[in-house]
Amino acid sequence: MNRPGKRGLNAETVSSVETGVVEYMTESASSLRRKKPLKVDPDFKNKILDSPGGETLRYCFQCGTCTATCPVIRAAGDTYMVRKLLKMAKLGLKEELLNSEVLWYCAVCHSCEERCPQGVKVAEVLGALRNLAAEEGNLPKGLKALASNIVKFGLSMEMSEDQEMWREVMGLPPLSKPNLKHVRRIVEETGLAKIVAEGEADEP
Amino acid sequence: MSLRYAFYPGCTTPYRLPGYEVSSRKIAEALGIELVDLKEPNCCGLPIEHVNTMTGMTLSARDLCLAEEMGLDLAVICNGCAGMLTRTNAKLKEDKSLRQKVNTVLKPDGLEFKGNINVKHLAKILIEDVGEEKLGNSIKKKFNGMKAAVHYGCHVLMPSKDLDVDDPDFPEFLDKIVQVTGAKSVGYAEKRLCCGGLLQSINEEISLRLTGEKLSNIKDADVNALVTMCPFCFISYNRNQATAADLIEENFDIPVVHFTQLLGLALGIPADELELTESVSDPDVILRFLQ
Repeated sequence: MNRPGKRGLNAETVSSVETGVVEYMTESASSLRRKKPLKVDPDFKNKILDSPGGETLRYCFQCGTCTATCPVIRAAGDTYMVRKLLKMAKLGLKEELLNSEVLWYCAVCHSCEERCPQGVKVAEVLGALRNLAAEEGNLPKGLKALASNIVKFGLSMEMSEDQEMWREVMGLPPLSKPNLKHVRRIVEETGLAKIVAEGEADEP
Repeated sequence: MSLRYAFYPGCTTPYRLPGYEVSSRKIAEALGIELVDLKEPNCCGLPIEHVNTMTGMTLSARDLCLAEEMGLDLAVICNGCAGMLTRTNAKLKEDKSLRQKVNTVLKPDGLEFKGNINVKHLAKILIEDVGEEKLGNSIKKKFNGMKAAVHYGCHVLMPSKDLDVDDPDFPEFLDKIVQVTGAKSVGYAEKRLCCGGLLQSINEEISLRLTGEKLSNIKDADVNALVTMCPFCFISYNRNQATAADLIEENFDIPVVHFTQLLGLALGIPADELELTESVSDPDVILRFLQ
């Protein structure tokens, strides 16, 4: 039977934590079929802390409440664990994180943020990580298309003539379209236009 | 209380679900709520918030500025817009240096975020500003013997502090709207579960599994309809219902309607004016309860 030791943790618990860390390292290593050791970037966490939305990563103490409350884990299986992503961020496993498809699995439901005892805005921290991935050109196809539409039309999609006609038939007022001059300034000065342009240049 | 609001229908609603927009405008009119359309609004910023946080926030701030210029609180009918615009509004009201950054981009176009309006989803306006009593007095017909499951959607509940929700585990406003129409809002397992909508463009399978799990819980509750208040959630449960069923090897036949259509019918607005066929191929599955 497990009894708490002097520091509140028994030997078995401690060793299982250690095994957990080892398993986690080897698991991600084997799943990526790495021959080389994992590269750790000790400055990475500072970069996240300085990014908009990334500031609250500093409060994460790895309790795992986020993973426990996450709906995606039930649908994605154990490929997606929020706590693990935050741990990887703090460890500086930059390449693993920014090249990972799993980084994009958060459904942004904010359940974890609601429950986090440390006030970590998890979705925003993941957002900061995704921003960094996007800067490096790692963006899921679906989001590339959305981003490109927003740069072009100021909206996530373009309205067809048929749709405009349907609005009229339904008695809806004509839709007021975005001011593209304003949108252009915003996407250029805040960086989205650059990400989209570089993404399009990379397309074969 | 003056029931006059700036109004932004979003992009998913007018482009993919005009029936939701029509029914929203109709119920507003019937209840004496004046919706004044924003001039030249852009995307609320949510879809690309995670691609570039500053772009998302600045686009969002621009829409808020347009409402500020009108001196009106902003009414929305999409949870995505509600969440994004509310969070941006809260952040920029609180964080001066962030506000300055955003305003530097907006200034050349003559805009400035001041932080003097609020954002509200139409469903919350109905309960908090119109009030249950007036809502109840406006009802002309009731759904008799109808059982409905309601789905709020995440972005109108969380983060609860920003969205001004007492308890995101037990919200009430949508249940109240459904009850006013005479239908019974039935409880079901994991009412707060996410629809998976935002993952549709990233990983369809995960998205559909989430959709399927919820529909499965709703099926167990044996309801006559599922009522939504967000275009993304609606698309997940309505248009993706069959695909989700195939994936998780179940059978669903759950009519999904916009809350504005259910309420519109109870307010005495004719079914064809509410574009009910956008939701259900056979409107009679809902209309048979209306008396």
